[in-house]
Amino acid sequence: MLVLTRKSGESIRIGNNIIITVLESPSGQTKIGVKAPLDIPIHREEVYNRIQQENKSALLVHDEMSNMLAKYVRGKS
Amino acid sequence: MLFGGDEHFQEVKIEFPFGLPGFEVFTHFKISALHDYEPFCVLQSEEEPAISMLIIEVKFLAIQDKIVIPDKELRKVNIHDEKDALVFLILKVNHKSHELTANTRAPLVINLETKKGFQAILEDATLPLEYSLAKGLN
Repeated sequence: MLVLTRKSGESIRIGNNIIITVLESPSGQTKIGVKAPLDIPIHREEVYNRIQQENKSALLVHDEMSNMLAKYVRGKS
Repeated sequence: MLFGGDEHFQEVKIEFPFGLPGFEVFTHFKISALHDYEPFCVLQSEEEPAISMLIIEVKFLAIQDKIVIPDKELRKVNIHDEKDALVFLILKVNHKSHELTANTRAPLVINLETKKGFQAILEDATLPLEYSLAKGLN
């Protein structure tokens, strides 16, 4: 079983459309066990959100790429 | 040299069954080599061509040894030996420094035999989301 540490109000997203949220825990921190098939992605919600942001900010703007890439390719040789 | 030594590689279609974080509904992508700018490649959605990102195989970066894909992650795409995994990092432009940076925390892991992949999110929080390529390539 995968074991993650979470606080009250924090969530875990499972795949594209499942989120488990810890609603209440006396000490402010609760451990949640998750059992799922190996191929189901399980992430801390805020980390997943950050990677979503990173991916969106990585979308290519083609007119700036050629100059940018030439710099690295030249730098290598 | 790209893709396990295939010099003539131009394009390969890869399925990401869970999409990519931020683009979950798109599962069919192609990876194209940029021969004028080797070793850079482009990952592009076949369903929505505007979803297009610059990527590079991790082996071209000095940080490659720190990016360890756990066995349980590799098994998600039926890879049983890390040598069979093709690992790419997604690049973006840092608009302040005008340098490319690589997201080392969330590599693309691809089984080239089955043409299936996924974007791993590694537990190692010390891996930078914006690793600068300013020092050059391997």
